[in-house]
Amino acid sequence: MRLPLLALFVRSVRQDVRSAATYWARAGLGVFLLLVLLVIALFSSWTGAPGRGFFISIITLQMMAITFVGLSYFASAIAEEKEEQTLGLLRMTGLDSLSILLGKSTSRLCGALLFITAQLPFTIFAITLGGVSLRQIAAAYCTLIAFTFFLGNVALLGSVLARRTGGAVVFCLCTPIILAVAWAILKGLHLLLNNYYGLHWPLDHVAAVIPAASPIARLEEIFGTGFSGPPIGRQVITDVAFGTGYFLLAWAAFERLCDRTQDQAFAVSRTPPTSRGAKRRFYLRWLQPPRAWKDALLWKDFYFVHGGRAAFALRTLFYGGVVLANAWQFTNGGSPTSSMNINTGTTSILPFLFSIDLAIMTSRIFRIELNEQTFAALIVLPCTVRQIANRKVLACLLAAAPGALSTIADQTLFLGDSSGGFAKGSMHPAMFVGLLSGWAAVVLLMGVVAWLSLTMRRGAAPLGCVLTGALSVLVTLICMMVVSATAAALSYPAPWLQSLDVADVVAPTLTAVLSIGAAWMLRGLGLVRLEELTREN
Amino acid sequence: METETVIDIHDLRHRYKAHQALAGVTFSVSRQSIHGFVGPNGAGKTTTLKVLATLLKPQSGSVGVFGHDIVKECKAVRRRIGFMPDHFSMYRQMTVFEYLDFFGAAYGLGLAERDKIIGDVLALTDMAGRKDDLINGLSRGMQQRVSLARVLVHDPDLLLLDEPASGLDPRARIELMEILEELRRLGKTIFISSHILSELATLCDHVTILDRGEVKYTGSMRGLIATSDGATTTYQLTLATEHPPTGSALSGLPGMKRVTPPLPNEARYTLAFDPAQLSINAILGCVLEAGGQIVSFTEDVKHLNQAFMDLTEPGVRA
Repeated sequence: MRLPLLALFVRSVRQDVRSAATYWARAGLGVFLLLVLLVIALFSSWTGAPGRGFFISIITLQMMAITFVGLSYFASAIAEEKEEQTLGLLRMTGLDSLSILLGKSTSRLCGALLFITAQLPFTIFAITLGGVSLRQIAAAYCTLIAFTFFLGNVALLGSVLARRTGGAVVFCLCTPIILAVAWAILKGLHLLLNNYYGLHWPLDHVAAVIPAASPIARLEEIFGTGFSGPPIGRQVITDVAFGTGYFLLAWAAFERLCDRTQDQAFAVSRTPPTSRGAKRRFYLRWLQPPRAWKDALLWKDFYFVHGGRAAFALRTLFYGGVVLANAWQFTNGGSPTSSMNINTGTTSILPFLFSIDLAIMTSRIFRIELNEQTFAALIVLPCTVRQIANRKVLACLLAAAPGALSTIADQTLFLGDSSGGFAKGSMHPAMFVGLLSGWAAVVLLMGVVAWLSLTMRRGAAPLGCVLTGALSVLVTLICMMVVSATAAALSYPAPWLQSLDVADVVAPTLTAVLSIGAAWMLRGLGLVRLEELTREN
Repeated sequence: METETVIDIHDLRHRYKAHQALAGVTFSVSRQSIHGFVGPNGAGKTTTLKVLATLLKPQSGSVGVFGHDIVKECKAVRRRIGFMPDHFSMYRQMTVFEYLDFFGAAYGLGLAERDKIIGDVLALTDMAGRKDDLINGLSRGMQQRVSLARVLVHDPDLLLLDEPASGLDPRARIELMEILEELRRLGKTIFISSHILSELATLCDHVTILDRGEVKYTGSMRGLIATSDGATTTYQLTLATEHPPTGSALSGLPGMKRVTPPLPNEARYTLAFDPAQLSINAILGCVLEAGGQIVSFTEDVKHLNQAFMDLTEPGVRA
C-alpha cells in the first residue's frame, strides 16, 4: 500500500469484500425490503398514500438501526484494539494516529453509509406507490447520512476515551445529555446577559444550533405532507460540523490517552498479580454472593453474569419506581395511557426499557463464556449442553424478574382504556391479545439475541432489538393481511368470525403463535451452534 | 472388580472435512500410571483428548473409559474424569473458594462434603492461604493450581491434562510436577499431553507418541528410551579421574564388545557388551580390581528428544 494513511482503511475494506457476511447482510436487507414493499402494495387498496407509509417505515427502521446497531459498531473502532491488546502492535508499525483513526473509523463509516444507500433504490419505489416526492426521499437520506457521520465520530471519540466498547457506548449515550446541558447553559447565559447586563450577544442563536442537530425533528418535518424544504437542511450542516469537531477532538485525544492506555494494557483485561492478592470489597455484606446453590449453574449466572442481588435490587427499585409513578399519576386524576395512544406515556416506555434490558442480559448469557473460554469447563459437567443452556436462560429470567413483573403489573393496572384497564374490568379483548402478542415478541427477542450472540462477538443486543422489531412489524402486517383477506373471501363467514374484530384479535394471535414458533426454532438452531462452538472451544 | 485398563482406545478415527485428524489410533492406559501423550503440532493430540473428555463424538472406532462406552455412558464417564484444557477456563471475577464451591455444587456435592474436599484440594495445591483472593489477581502459576484444584474437586479417578505446564515459569513447573506425583501416590491415573519432553521423561511411566494421526509408539517410557537391542547393552561408566588401566582391563573381559575411551579431561567410558555373557557385577568387580574409582555406572538411554525425533517425521502437517 503506497499511502500509509489509508493502509488500515484498505485492509478493512478488503476484509469486508472477502467476508460472506457482508453479502448475506445486504441480501437479507434486500429481501426484507421487498417483503415490506409487497405488504404495503397489497395494503394499498385499504389505505391512502401507501408510498408514504412505506417511506416512513423504511426511514424509521433505518434511523433505529443506525442508532442501536451503529452505536456498538462505531464504538468498538479503537476500543476493540484496546480490548485485544493490539493497539501497541498497530502503533509499532509506524502508522501515525491519524492513519489509525481514519483506518478504524472511516471503513466502518463507509460500510454503514453503503448499507444506507443500498436501500435507496427500494425507497424510490415509494414514489410509484404514491404520497411521497423525490425531494422528501433525498432530504431523508441526507438526514440519515449526516446523522451517521455525526454518530460515527461521537462514537470514535468515546472509543478513544474509553477502555472498553461498553464505556464508549455509555459516552455516546451521554452525548445528548451533554448537548442538552450545553443548550441550557447557553440559553441561561443569554437570558442573564440580556436581562441583567444589557448585552446583546447572540448566544441564543448559538444555542439554537444544538436542537437543529436533531435528526428526529428534521425527519418529522420531512414526513409531513407537502414538504418543500431543501434536501440539505440545517440539520445536515450541523451534524457534519459537529461530527468533524468530534473527529478532531478524537484525534487530539488519541496520542495522549491511547499511549497511557497502552501502558496499562495488562490492567485492561485483568488485574496484575499482587503478592497480597486481590480481594473483593463489599461495603454491604448482603451483596456478597452466598455459598453456591444446589443449582450451581443458576447461582453462577445469577451472581456473576447478571449482577446478583445488587442488580436485582436496582432493577426492583427502578421498575417498581416507574410503576409507582404511574400509580401516583393515576390516583391523582391524570389520564392513564389509552389503548389508542400506547406510543406515549410511561406505560409504553416500561416494556420498551424492559425489552432493551432483557436483550442486553440475553446477549451476555453465552457470549461471556465464549469470550473468556470458560465453556470447556462447563461442558464436561455431567449434564448435556441443552441442560446447561436451559439453566443459563433460567438465571437470566430470574435476574429479569423485577422488570417482567413490573411490566405485567403496569400493563394490568394502567394500560387499558380511559376508564382504567384491568383495574376496572374494562379492558378490551383486542388489547389483551395485543399484550400477549407483545410478550410473544419479547420471547422472540430473547431467541434472536441469544442466537446472534452465538454468531457475533459484539452488537447482538442492538441488532437483535432492531431485527425483532422489524420482524414483528412485518409478521403483524402479513398476518393482518392474510386474516383480512380470508375474512373477505368467505361469502358466509362463520358466526364466531363475524363477532370478532378480525384485524385486532385474530391477527395478533397469529403473530404471537408465529413469534413463539420462530423463537422455538431459534432455540434449536442456537443449541446446534452452541454445540459446534463448544467443540471448537 | 474394575478393570486395570483405565483408557482403552481402539482404531479411533476422526476427520475434519478434508483433514484426517486421527487415522486408526489404538492404545491403552493402565490404572495409577502417569501416561504421557506426545506429538508434534497437528498430530491429533487435542482431538484425542476432546474425545476422551466426551467433548467430541468419535466418528469410528471404540473408546472406553473405566469400561464405560464414551458415547453411550457419557455421564458416567464425566463423573470419573477431570479435564483440564490447555487454557484455564476460569471465572476471573470469582474468588478461589467460590470457583471451587461452584464446581463442587455442579457435581452434586453437599455443603459439608464440599467444605471438606475444597479444604483438601486447596491444601494439596498449596492454595489454602489464597482461597479468598479473586482469581483475576492471581499469577499464572497460581491460576494453574486453582485449575488443577477444580479438576480434583469431584474426586475423579482419571485426570486428563492438556499442556498443564505451558506458560509456567520453571519453579511453577517443578511444583506442578510434584503435585502430579503426589496425585499418583493418591491413586489417580493421569493422562498428560505436553510438549516439554524432559519433564515427561522424569514424570511419566508410560508414553504414547502420535504423529499425523497415527500412533508411532505406545508403551513404557523405559522401553522407548532404552538403547538395548537384546544382544548388546550399553552402559556409561564414569570414574573420579582418568585411569587408563581400567580401560585395558575392561576390554579384556569376555563378552565385552566395545569400550569407547573417554575424551581428553573426561573420565567417562561407554561400554557395549553382551548381557548373556557378561554380568554387571563382573564389570564393576573388574573396575575395582584395576584401581578405578567409580562415580557412576548407568544404563545408556537415548534422551526422549532423540526418541521423539526418530519416531516422528519432519515438516509441518498440511
